[in-house]
Amino acid sequence: MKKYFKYLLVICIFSCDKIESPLPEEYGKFDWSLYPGDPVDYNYDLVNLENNWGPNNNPKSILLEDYTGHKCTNCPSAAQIAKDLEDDSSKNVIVASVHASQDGAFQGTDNIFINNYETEAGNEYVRGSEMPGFLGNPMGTINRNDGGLTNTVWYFGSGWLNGVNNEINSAFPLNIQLQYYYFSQTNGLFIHTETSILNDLSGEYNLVIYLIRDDVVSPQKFNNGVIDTNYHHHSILSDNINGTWGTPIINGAVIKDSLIYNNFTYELPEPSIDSTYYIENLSLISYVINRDNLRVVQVIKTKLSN
Amino acid sequence: MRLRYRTLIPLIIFFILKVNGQDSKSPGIISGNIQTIGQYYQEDTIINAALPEHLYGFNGFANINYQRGDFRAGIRYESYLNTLEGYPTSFSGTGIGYRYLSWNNDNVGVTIGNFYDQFGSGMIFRSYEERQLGIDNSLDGIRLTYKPINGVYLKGMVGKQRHVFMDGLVNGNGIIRAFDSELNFNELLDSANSWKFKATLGGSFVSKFNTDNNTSFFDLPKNVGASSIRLNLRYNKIRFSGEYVHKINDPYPDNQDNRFNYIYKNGEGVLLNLGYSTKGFAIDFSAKHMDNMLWRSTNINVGPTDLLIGYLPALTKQHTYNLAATLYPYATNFYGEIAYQLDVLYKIPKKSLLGGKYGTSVALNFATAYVPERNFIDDMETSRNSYSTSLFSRSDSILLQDFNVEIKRKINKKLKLSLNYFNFIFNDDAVKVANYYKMIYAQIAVLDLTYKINRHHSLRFETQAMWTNEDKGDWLFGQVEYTFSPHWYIAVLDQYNSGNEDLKKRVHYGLISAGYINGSHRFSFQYGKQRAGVFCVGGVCRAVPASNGLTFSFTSSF
Repeated sequence: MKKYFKYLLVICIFSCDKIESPLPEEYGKFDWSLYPGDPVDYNYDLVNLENNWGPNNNPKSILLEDYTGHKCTNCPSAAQIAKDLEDDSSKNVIVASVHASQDGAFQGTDNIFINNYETEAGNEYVRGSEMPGFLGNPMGTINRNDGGLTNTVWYFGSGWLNGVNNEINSAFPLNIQLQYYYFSQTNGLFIHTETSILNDLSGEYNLVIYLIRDDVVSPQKFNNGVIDTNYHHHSILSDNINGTWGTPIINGAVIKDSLIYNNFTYELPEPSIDSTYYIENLSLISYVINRDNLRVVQVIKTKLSN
Repeated sequence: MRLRYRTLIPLIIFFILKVNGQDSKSPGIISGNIQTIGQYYQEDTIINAALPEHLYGFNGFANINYQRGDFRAGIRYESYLNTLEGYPTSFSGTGIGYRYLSWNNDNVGVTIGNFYDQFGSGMIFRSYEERQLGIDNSLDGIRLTYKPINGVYLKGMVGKQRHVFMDGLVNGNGIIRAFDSELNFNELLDSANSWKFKATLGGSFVSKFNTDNNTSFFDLPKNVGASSIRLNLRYNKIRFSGEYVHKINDPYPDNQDNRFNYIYKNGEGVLLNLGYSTKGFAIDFSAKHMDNMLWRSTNINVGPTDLLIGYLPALTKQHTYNLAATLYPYATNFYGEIAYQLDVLYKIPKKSLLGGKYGTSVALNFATAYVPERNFIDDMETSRNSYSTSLFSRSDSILLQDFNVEIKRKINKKLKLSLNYFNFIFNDDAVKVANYYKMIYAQIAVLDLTYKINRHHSLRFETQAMWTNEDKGDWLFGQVEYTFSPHWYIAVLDQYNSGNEDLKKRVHYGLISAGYINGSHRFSFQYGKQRAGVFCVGGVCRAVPASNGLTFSFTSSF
């Protein structure tokens, strides 16, 4: 009995988490060191934020995340379904190809498959506890709604069309618009967003920004072991600008017509080392999720250029 | 997690097997009690009494206990069909809400299942039931007690708290680990047993593990600990008790005041009590400093009385007269308060000029509570402590002042008199029980007369009046109660909001009640209007909506 009490006492005494820094690490924090001039000359008005923006006419769009792998033989056909949906202008689908799997399957590198396209965030989405039910590549999410297999966020490619059709008339409680400034001298990307609330809203919502490489020519395995070394990988998720789950922008209740502004900076990879990071080949996908159920409520895509 | 017969059946089987191993000559003792209240509702638009669609509310429970030797087992069956209006709707359905099995021998005690317990004053840990308030935070787990030597008491427990009742017990997700030790010096030292000086020293540690809140705005602690130390001293007619509790960062969301929203400041509390009592005279002084000691097993927004691990005692007298008890009762301020209370009891000797033939009892009570002095600091973007405080440093912002005096006197063999006076200063902007949200100044006078007609028949008159220029203005109350013992009583009462500025709201709340008592059985009914108010026990309160209708109740024990 004495032994049990000792154990209990030890468990109690060490059962405390003292938090010295309550605020989580801030990804994409505004960093003037990436600005090549005097910050006073910066074009975006950081005091009167609303002066920088006009009306937001972005349409309601749908995020289709295609979880894929360059050694996944069934993935190219799924990627084609995604591309077809994106090309259908009536549906406003935005595709992000996420190279990720639970155990690294289909993602490995060797002499032929030189590049690893996995990202920390992509792996967290399939391996973490927040989006359970991933069975393997290729699977995808449609606005991360729970209409997928056994009411998870995960759809097989055959269900993406129906998933998108069902999502077209989903709620549109807020809209996003984005401005950016790119400085080639520092590879610095300065990003500004305006989130406008279209209907009274409550809960916790995060803004997530993906860095996308639009087109990357790289090997892809097909059925029967065929490898296409000139395969065009479309819209590859290359990094999360502001962390895996993004930046909290709403916590509690916000009323209609409220405006929320966020600023980020990001240092792009050096394009002279990896030409796929040439600015003209990059885009940003920005979306807002309901943090409770991960559902995407709006998404936009912004093509970058010099 | 819903726990029903699936968990009960193995418990009973285990219990039977253990009991069969005991002395088979003793069949054991079964005891229990039952309490039921049913109310048939009527709509009353004048007092805003709503008519629920189920028309009839019913709350009932029964405890059944079995004891044989060192073993005890029991269940409580509960029914809320449908839950009485004003009672927490988190109590609904019918099923088993409490079950336990325990045994004690060789200085060791074991309890499995549900249990109630308290460390010290309860600030660090109090698992209790207050059925009238709809509070039941029994721990569901395992408790061990151990007395290694005389005077040393150890207690440890791990479990989850009862949260709601939905056709059975539903626990919260948080896990509580608790340890308490107490040293009784007089028992420890054989020679000290006969001393007039008595001393006990206690210490506790309680921690919780909880992951309910997955906000990405803050890095929340999953394990939060609190510790306490307490001392009780007694010398002859003087007694002293003191307790200090400390809690590490335990942030909660607060939608009312951003200065308290997810703050990481440590919490602390001090409770001191000094008393002296002798024949015919007693004096008792209490002081309390409490800051940021809200202490729940969840870190998301829940009901005010849900999943509380610690109990924040109110230093106020528990009033029983209707107007004083239900119009402006004090609810402990969760953010913190500095409070003091003084009680003086004196019995003026009989056959003296002031005491009269039978003597006169005088009870004075003064209680006051203030907002602590808080120096707010600009650290909400860094450490989020929000403010600093010093022990017993109070601000000028008063929460409550309650002065009351009670004089009781037996006039002659047939007539007893009780006079009461109450003077309240009540900050409803902070306490928020009257929905007035401003300062309220009120005085109440009560006259209570009991006339004993003969050995079996007595008549009681009670009249109360409250004067205030705030809130709903003045109130009057009157009651006549006729008792013909040992079985029957009948009472008629009326409350009247005589000072309401809105003449349409100067309403009479008439009520008639009667009851039959036979040994341990009591059956009663009442019919009439009950005004909306607040019901508090020990600083914990529940809003009671207005109602009109017929109420039956039955209680019994065996």
